Amino acid sequence: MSPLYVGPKVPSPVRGQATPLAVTQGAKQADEIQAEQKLQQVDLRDVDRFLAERAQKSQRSGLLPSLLSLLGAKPKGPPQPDARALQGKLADAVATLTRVYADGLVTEAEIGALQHAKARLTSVLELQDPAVLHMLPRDVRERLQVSLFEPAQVLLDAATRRSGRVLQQVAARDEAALQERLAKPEPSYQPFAPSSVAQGGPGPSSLDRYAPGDLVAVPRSDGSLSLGVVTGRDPDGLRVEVTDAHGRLALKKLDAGTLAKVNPFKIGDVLDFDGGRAWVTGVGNNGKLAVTVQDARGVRHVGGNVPPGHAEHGWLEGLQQGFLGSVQALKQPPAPPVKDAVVSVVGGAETRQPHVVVGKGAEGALFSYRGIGYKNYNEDAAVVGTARGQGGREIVYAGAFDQAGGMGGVPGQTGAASKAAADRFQQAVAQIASGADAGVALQEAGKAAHADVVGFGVGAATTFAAGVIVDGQAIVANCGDSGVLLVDKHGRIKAMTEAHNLGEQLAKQTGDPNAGLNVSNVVTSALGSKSAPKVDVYRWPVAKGDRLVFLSDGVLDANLEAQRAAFAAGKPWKESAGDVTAREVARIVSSSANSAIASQGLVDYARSQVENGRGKPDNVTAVVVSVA
Amino acid sequence: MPTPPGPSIAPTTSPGDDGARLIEALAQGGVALKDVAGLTPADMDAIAKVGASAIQSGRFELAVRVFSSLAALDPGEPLHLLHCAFAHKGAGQRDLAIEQLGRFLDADVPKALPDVARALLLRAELHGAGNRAAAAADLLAARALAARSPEVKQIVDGGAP
Repeated sequence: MSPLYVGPKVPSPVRGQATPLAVTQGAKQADEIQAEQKLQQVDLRDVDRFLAERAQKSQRSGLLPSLLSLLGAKPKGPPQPDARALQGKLADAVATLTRVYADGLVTEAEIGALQHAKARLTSVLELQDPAVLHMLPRDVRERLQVSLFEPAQVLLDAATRRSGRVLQQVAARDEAALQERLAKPEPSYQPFAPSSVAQGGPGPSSLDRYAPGDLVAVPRSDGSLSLGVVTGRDPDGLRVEVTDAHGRLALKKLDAGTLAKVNPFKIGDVLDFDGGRAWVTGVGNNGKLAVTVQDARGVRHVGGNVPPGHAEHGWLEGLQQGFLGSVQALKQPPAPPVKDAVVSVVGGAETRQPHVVVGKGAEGALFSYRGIGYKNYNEDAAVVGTARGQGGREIVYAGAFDQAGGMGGVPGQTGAASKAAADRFQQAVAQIASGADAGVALQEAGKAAHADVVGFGVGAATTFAAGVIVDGQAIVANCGDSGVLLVDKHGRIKAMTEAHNLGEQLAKQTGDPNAGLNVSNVVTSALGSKSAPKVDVYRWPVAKGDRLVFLSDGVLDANLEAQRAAFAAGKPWKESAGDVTAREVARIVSSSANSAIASQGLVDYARSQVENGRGKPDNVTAVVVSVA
Repeated sequence: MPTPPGPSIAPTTSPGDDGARLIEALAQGGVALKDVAGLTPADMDAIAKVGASAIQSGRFELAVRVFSSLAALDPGEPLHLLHCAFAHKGAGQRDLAIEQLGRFLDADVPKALPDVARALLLRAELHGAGNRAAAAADLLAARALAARSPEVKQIVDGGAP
């Protein structure tokens, strides 16, 4: 979803020292009261009249127009049954059900997936009700029987059998887990991000990361290792409790060096790396830290129980080296300028760390990935690059494009709509380099991408938030509920695009930050939508130290769920979730040493907010350009 | 071993890439069963027509089943949710109707503004005098929409269904 206040449009001047968030405590209270009164004054006086009118109308009213049109609808062209196409997929799906959980690892997410799939299939099979079938034309009825009901029933049976077995596994696992917890408590998992270390936070094995109650691997006097619990922290080490060889409680002191040697990470760390995710789960039989890894090879356990010499041995140390390498890369000063470099992430691709492009007048970095708690693929697209314009002047360009997750997709082409937008944007950059007016070229690119997406014929849609920096000016185009912010080196928001989102627009129109919460997912303009899209163009002067930030709503909605929960609990916020997020975005990018750290920090922030139930799960894209 | 930082960008899979991920895709709403089953727009219209006829003849619970099935078949079409809510209302299932309208309004899909306005007005009506604050919020949202097009204004002002 979307940001917050309406930025300037062509040709209006740049918004100055925008401070929509600076509110004193007293003013906040006054605002809150005023907002509540406004809602009451505007609406409650009319509610009873409205209800009376609707009651009268209900007595004589008919159907919704869309229902009426259905009753008069004629068939849209000849039927094109393609049951054969289903059969292969069906066989694969049933095979999946018998092998997905073959590794014995069962998660609540996987159980949830089965339950959701079963619910959907069960609902579809409700159409077998004779009362429904009786009213359908015979050819449709027969086609449904062959193409839909029979395969759906096979899928449902397979899913039901599988979920029964999965639940048995869960019961067994839970019993085992209970026994295990009696002996050693489960860690509390927390993401551990390179950006926090790069900005001066404690390293993977630092004493500062430990607090009483934490689990830690502890060396025994016989040279082996075991699990311990931290009971206190001294300047030079940790105090820990372990059980000795006789099962009795023993106290030990773990100095910083030993701690770092046997704990490359902290138990409970969750680490993203290029290609997967790892959870540091505890210690194995030999006391060595154990890790559960999910990557292209699937889910597996490595570390603790792996004997020396095994291919997986040393995996954790390798992970630490990779992690520290990422930290080092973030800390490094910008590399020498690279002429006409570009990084684009499109068509279902994703990144696991920032990817950087360095120009003479600016450097940029992008980060785009599937996010957490959402889909297992990325439909966002992102671009950052430099180009050479007329007279050798440098053009730095960037964009974020968010394909609507609930819309149709082009078979076999993940993120086709967002890719079309990114491709058209890059074509526009080439035109700008050849002398075309940037604003016009960007607007035309939006229109062309709209035609591309409509042409897919699958009902897909995408946002378009992209722009160029040339001759000390940022020219930015926006359509949809992604957004672009211009932040100065002090963390002030100099300008921002207007979100095409009804919730945000309503909040601005009414002055009540909570007024649009019930329509916060209603996008009022997008490429590929049924109506012609509205592509806004902005021109903002940029200065040294400014950061231009392109975000999908995977970042911009980082506080939406928190605001909704507060409102439902009768504690309406005094500013919109979008305003809160914009402030955080400005803080993160202005306190980051470079674009790479900034984009990593924005992604870390969005992830943390979702994990804490404050943000909306979604694909996440952050592109940052820093003006040198 | 983890890959050190570098320029590699890993492609992700999608339901369209691999039929074997159908179940996961179904659960996530990433694939429409109607497409998997090769149903045509005419097939979908024929089913929806059954639902519309059921509403017209007062068989609201049948209509609920039909539109729920359609929503499961085609999660990318939010109108099924709106129709389902309308059927729930007819069946006297106020809370379920409100829930479906919330799903319609929350669906991550661009929606026609007149339909959004109708959904907001319907939900305001369902909230009714029992929850005037919620009704007021929906009415406020609908009126804000009215400024965006004459068609929506007509709906909000009561001059159009």
